[in-house]
Amino acid sequence: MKVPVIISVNGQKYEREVEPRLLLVHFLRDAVASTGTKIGCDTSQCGSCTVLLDGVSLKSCTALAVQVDGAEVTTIEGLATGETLHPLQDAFWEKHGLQCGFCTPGMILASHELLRTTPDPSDAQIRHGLEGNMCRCTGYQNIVRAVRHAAGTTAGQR
Amino acid sequence: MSARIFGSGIRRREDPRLITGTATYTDDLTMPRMVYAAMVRSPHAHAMVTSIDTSRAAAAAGVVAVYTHTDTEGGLQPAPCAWLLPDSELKIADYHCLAKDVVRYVGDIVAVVVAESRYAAEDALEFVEVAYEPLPSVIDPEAAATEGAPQLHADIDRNQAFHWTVAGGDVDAAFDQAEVVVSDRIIQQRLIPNAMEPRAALASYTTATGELTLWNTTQNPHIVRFLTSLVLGISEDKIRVIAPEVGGGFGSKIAAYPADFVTMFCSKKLGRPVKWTETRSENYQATTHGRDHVQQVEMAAKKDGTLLGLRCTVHAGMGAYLSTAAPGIPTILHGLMLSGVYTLPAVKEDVYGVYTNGTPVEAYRGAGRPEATFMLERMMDVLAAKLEMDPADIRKKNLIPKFEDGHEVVTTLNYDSGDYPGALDKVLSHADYSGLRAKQAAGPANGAYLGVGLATYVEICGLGPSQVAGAIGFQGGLWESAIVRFHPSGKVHVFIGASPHGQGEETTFAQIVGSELGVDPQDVKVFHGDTDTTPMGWGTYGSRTTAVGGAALALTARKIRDKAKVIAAHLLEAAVEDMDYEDGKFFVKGAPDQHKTITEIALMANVAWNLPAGIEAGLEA
Repeated sequence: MKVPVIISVNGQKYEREVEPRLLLVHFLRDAVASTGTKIGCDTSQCGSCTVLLDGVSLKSCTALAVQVDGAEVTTIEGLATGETLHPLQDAFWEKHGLQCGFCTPGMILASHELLRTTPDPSDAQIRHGLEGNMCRCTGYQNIVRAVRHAAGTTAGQR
Repeated sequence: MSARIFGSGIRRREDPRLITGTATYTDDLTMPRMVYAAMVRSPHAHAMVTSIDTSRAAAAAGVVAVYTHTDTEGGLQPAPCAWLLPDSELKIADYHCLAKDVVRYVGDIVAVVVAESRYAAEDALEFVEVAYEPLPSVIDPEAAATEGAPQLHADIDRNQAFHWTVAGGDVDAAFDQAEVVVSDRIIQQRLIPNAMEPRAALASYTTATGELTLWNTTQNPHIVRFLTSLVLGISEDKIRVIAPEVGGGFGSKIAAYPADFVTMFCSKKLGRPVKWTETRSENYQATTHGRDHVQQVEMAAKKDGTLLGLRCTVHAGMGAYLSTAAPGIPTILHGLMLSGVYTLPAVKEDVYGVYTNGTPVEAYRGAGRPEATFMLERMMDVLAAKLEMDPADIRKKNLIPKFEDGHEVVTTLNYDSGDYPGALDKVLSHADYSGLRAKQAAGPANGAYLGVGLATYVEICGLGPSQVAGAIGFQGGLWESAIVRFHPSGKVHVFIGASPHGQGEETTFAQIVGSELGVDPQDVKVFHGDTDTTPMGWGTYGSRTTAVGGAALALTARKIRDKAKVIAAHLLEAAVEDMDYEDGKFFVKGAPDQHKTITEIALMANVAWNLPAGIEAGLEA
């Protein structure tokens, strides 16, 4: 049995018939072919699948597509404005906040959430705010620097 | 100019696609007619497989095929072990890609289900009915090596995969003369490498041409291509292995895995693209692990702390089968490190590689070398404690004095140069070591105790010279290569054999070309990870890609410079020997205003209507 859903992804409405058990992350990656959102652990430990749901962060590997029917999802692909990077994307680039890049989409969107709720975080608040996101390459130092660099801009409001 | 480009901090060339979600990792790829594979894996550490009934799974909705070992006869050879450790009585047990009669670790593949969707494939796993008869199992490598331990492979006594030794000096005499002997038993625990990106394979076999393309989460696509040709019986020229974006490896993406071969086998059998992506649980079970040493160590010394000898026995758990590079890791990459930065007169190490009912053990971050450094440094601390010496003093006492023209240590390695006393003094002074010790002696501050630890090391890395690779039994030559191609516009494409996966060589290598040829690194694009378009290379591991591949690239760039100089001389109507080069400009000696830029030369080399006789068109090496 399939269920109709209408989910907006990065400003584009998608009407799809989905299995009720379909995970949001698979809806994004398979039904919408928006593969920027990553699956790292399948169990919401690693945060690679973080997206924004109506502007608030959500780990998309433990949400069902049917749960977000009618909502607006923002993925990493929807963050830049044309060729202009979002300040967080630019900060991760500038501060070498990534190596292999696999955790980066989730890391940037989790940082987006952090700056939305805490616009000028301390290092401790950054580390706490990103504790649901794992990175194996960087050792986190440069991620913290990147978020600090982006803070104070309008990073969380856009 | 050179110094400004190479080594300068510039934004990474690879980042724009990574921060915008437009990078393509293996699991991001789809193809027309693609189907999905999922693996039925053993839930037992050791068991007989008494029967497999695939009929229900095969009839399930969306299922295309189900295969077990019996379907693969002749079409799928065992996964090879490619590090043939010499002088070690190496015994390689068959690592069947789909288990034959016996499973030997939790995660051993028993069957594969191929279906129209990943969900359908996962659903059908539950319908494959496998009957097991559990057998006794053994996980501890020391226990596995004892008489009467459960035996994994019928023809391999006491589960001994190999016995390797390193010896130098007279270790027995050292212990006879010792004024103090300390010993310790050190467990280097088995661990899971856990790259963020799960392993994945997308195989596409074209029946009409007999050609196979594999997109794979690998650190070394050329090695995977070679091993695939052995396992699937397809000649190398018909196999293309692509490592697209790879999300970290840490050693766990060196091996060529049974699951990858099974995925390719399915594609060949079905004539359709097949994708398999592991779950994180599968990653824990079946992607290679690291370490797993039990080390029994003794150190002999004089009362003043002077080292006399080191004697140790290591039981290295290899897991149920020998993975691609496994035998070299607890041996060559471990035992040869045991002198560290110290004057060590005698050493003897026995390493027993032992089959256990665990996931195969491979390279992981440092791969054998941290296990050596930890052992040696731990023993230095134990000795210091026994002699009531400061850990810094006992190290200073034994450091190899400063040397510049080579120094051979007891494990027969020749170190090129070093100033270890200088380095230690520098770090102690930077860290204010005496101040830290004073703080520590003052007791806990704000409820926190202060720990102070020291460790030194020199590491085998930049894995290279081909003769060395041959001598240590590594079946690959460990050389690297590069192709540099100038377009008429003066923009550059570089093709490298190594296969970075997060290390940033698209930037580093663009800087090397920039430094060597005076072009803007932004105008240099580096291609890697595709066996059809890049030259041969042995992969990215062991801190080798910039050290070995970067050197190959610099040499290639200098060949370009030599050719450009000939063309410049021709265009300037000067003799080649009168030409000089600096910062991308070729000029007549003493007359720098009479010059041609590398960009101008690239244009002429490519349009080629005014080249000196005997010079081929194009600017490429």
